[in-house]
Amino acid sequence: MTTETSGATVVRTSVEVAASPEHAFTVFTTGMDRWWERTHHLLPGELKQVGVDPHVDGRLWEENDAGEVCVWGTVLTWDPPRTFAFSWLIGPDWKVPPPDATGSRVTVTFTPTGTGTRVDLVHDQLDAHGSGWEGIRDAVAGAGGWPAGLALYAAAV
Amino acid sequence: MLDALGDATRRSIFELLAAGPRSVAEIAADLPVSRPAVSQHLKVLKEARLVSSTAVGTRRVYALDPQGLAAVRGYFDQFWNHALAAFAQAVEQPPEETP
Repeated sequence: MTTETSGATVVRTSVEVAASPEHAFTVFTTGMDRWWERTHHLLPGELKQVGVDPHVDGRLWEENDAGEVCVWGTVLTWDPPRTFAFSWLIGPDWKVPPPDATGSRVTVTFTPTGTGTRVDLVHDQLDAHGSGWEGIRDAVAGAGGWPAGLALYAAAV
Repeated sequence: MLDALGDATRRSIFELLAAGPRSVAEIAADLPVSRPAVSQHLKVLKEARLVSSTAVGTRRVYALDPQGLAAVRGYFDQFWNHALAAFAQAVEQPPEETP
């Protein structure tokens, strides 16, 4: 896995997997709940499920254990097994986005290699979240939330 | 700019600060790195505008830079690195485990 971070408002990450583009696309999209970090959620309570509606203009959403649903993105490109793009309304503070929130954009491409699939993820237009950054200190001050995810990440590195 | 996070120790320091502000001594206590080395790494992180510092009493406390777009990028950089690692694991699980 490699990461390149040139450009002011773009993050690029890639990973190669030993699977077909079709399978990788399916796991990334409709299978998102299988790999989503459980500590990363917007609604109060426990995260029950993360989902993707499999079509353009479909929702990216989460549901908590109380049955509440929160939409945090919209499918921009649905072109299996090549390209999946979606708007991303979640700031680093992981607060429920307001109805008029402008988001950043995530584009994921799946390219066959000799042994599997290369998955390239580009998260751009990150300046959309600049003003939400202040909330991060409040968010990390409490227990739970995404800091636990960062700790898991740190342990895995 | 984010080459500052290309170093494993600096990434660890960045992650510690993501969990809350800390002093040099506190960072050094949590990592196998000397205090002078921590100070050097913090200098690089500050120059990259990932981290800022404030004086609290007689101590200097370091935190993620709340104004820095670089910190936002650093955050999402880590988020997706972690997420794609979990994704890769899920993809490569045997097919029978696929729901």
